[in-house]
Amino acid sequence: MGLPPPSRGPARLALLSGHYLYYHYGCDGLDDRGWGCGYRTLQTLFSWPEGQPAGVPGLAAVQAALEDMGDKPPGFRGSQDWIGCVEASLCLAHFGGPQGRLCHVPRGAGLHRELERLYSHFAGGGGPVMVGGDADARSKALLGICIGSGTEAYVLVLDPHYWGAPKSPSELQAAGWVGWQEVSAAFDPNSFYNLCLTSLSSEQQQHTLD
Amino acid sequence: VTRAFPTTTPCSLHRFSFSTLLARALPGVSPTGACEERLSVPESTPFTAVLKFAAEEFKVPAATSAIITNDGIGINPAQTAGNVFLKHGSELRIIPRDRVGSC
Repeated sequence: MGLPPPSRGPARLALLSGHYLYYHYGCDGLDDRGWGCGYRTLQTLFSWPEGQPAGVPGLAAVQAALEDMGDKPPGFRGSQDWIGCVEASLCLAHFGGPQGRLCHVPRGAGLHRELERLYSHFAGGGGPVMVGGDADARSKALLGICIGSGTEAYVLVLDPHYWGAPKSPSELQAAGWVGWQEVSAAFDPNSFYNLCLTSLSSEQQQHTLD
Repeated sequence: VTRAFPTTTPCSLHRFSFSTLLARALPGVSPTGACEERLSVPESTPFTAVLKFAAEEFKVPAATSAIITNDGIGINPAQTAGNVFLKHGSELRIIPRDRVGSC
């Protein structure tokens, strides 16, 4: 990816396998500033592991699916209502994307309890991880983890809140839209979090074998 | 609904188990059991009712809660309890929904 590792000392580092596309505010012409970041992170999840737009639903399709499957009431489609990791996991299953498993992190617990789980996830071939909270209402995707000595730990964060013309990966890195963040700084202790960890579905695994 | 979880269990993560009754219909949902509370519901019960009852038992808002399996699979509440039991078994958790959108 071109980013230097965040830790200078000995550390274990694991990154997602495969490829992904960076979905962000307005990337398809729809102005979703202020409400679409969860949808954009979900789209990034859908793009994994191929890194292609095929099979990635638009925001309207996501809303239609949630309303049609009964998770959202009539009138949800066309709204600017927010979604989170629960809706993301339901949509991943509905559209046949990667499998999305949910993990709840209680308020105050912090992500330090989940570091080994995240390391195993990425080291074991897992895909991007959607993160959503309540007090922390900014969606983000985790693309990797770096665990140093003691309590030193970093996560590689992809921020969907970028609005503007397409940029190159190096420009996005330089501007901080993708980069390593210290775990204690990236997560609000006043917020609970849900994580949606993606992995190859059984259909995708079979396709890989065929 | 399992009440016998230790007091150190984080308040926003509640586990419960439920079963469905295939042979007879009950007038409504009811907790059963002594050491462990289980939720027994008719097979055809909308799972939204299970969610609502579990939320009431744990004193969390049903509208902003979701039920997942112990290994993290999200459950669409718009199906019958029987369907959920067949697909996902009986050991479930109720979690708060996150909602993200601010810039």
